[in-house]
Amino acid sequence: MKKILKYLRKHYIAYLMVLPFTLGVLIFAVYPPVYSIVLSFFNVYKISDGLTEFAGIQNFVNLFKDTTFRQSFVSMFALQLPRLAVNVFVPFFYAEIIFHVADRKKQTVYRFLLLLPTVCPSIVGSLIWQNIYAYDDGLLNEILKGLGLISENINFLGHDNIIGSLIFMNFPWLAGTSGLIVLAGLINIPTEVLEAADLDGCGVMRRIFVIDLSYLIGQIKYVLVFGIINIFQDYSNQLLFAERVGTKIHVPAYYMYTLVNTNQSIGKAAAIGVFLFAVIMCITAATYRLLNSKDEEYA
Amino acid sequence: MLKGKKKGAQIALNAFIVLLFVLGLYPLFMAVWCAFKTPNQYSLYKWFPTFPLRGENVQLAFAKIENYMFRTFVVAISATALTLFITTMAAFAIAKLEFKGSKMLFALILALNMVPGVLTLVPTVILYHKLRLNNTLFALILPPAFSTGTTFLLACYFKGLPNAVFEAAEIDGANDFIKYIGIGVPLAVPIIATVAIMQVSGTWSDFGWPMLIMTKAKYTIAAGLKVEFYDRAMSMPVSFAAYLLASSPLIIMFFFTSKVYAEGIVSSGLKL
Repeated sequence: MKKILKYLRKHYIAYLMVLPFTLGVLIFAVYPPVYSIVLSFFNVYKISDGLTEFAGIQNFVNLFKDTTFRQSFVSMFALQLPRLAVNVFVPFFYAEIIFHVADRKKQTVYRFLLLLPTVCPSIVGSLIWQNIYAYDDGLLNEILKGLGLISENINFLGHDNIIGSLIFMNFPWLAGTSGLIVLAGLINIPTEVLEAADLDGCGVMRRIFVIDLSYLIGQIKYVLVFGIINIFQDYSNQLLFAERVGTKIHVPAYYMYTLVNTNQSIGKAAAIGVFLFAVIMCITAATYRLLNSKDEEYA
Repeated sequence: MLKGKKKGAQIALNAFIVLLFVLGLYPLFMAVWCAFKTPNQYSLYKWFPTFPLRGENVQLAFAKIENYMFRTFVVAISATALTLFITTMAAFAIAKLEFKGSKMLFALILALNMVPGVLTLVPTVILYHKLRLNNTLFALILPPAFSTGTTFLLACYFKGLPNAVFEAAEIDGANDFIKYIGIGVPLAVPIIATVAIMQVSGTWSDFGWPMLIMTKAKYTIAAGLKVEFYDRAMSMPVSFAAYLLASSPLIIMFFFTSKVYAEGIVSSGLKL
């Protein structure tokens, strides 16, 4: 007892410093995921309902019988797999082209411009793109018409074209944060290595694939893992466009969001969250294993 | 000859980059000039700037979003201040002060970082309802304050600082809090600034959570833009003026802080 008191007297400030954070984390970060799993095994319909009716795995069974939910998985992959390719390739692309600019001043300006869109509210970008895609007088339709490529306007935000339009949105996808992280990785490659490659007559393309990629494995892993997790989590476009386009672009996470937002089938919504969590965990673990085994091959 | 070739390649590369940036930033420019058009000018020439400028749009737009903007200011500033206070203090203690449980806390943060938002959305909504904090500003201010992601980022930065400085301070009689506020915080300014910028722009841009936990009258700006200008058919120039007004605080902040912001992102990215 005395020992404990003595220890506390010496370290009480440190404990006070982590106290607010620890309490907050217990309430707002530890409790929710645990409660989510519990919730998914109960019949809960409204937000205010308590845990009274144990449901077993009924929520999950209902989920897989639900055609809206199954369909939302298909839409999710159709929408997000191409976006994943974009999210992995584009930061690398921007980092390489900016890295190869010889003029340091210009490089700084490009880095600045690359980051600029990230601070602009994304909803503003989406709303402007909605104008670019507009049916009557949108920029894209006017350009295509002006070039004589189409005779009739295309309804880009209509049921048939919406998925392609959402993938193409924000073209040319200024890569922002991840582009900057990859660029920093490139700048960190020892100059001796690059000079030696240059002397040996290594061309730009070969250099990119042989030297840069092996030095950037950490950054690529980061972009890839985050991109994959994002496949299941992202529904920002749905929040904006789904009300008009309908279930064609519904993804599971958005389905969960709408259930909560309309205050119905809360247990089922929790089951969606738990299921997505399980899928994300498996895929993240598999990705890590795959990438790390590749590392060993190189070493 | 070779030099000439290299120069030519550089010019081509720069031209290509500029073209990409013009394409990528065009929507932003478009918002700027469309914000100052009359409806007539807009329907005829919306894809490039025209004169005279019509300032009235901005006034009309401001009247629509004034409330949302003010609320967002309050939330962004309080959320950022609270987040910085709670997370830097905890991150410093976990990274630099040795006490029983510090390693366990760090492990907990690491584990919680793996928990995706989709798992916590439903119970978090229920929690805020139970605490009767739904539809209060606390529902917008509290979530980032206990962010394990932010704390992890900060703790990693603090861990990278040399121990010698802190040991020297201890010999001079500094207690743990003095070490934090007097040495830790000043040394961590770049990463703290980055966290602050990310937090402000996060609050500013988020609309999924406010739409879920607040009633329409209490939305923040991003959700406000959606209900006022997207859900209703508004005059387009006025909408663009609103987009511009809504983005301007972030863009101004970015112009003053881009250097330190970029440094912070790079320093956190390099540890990969």
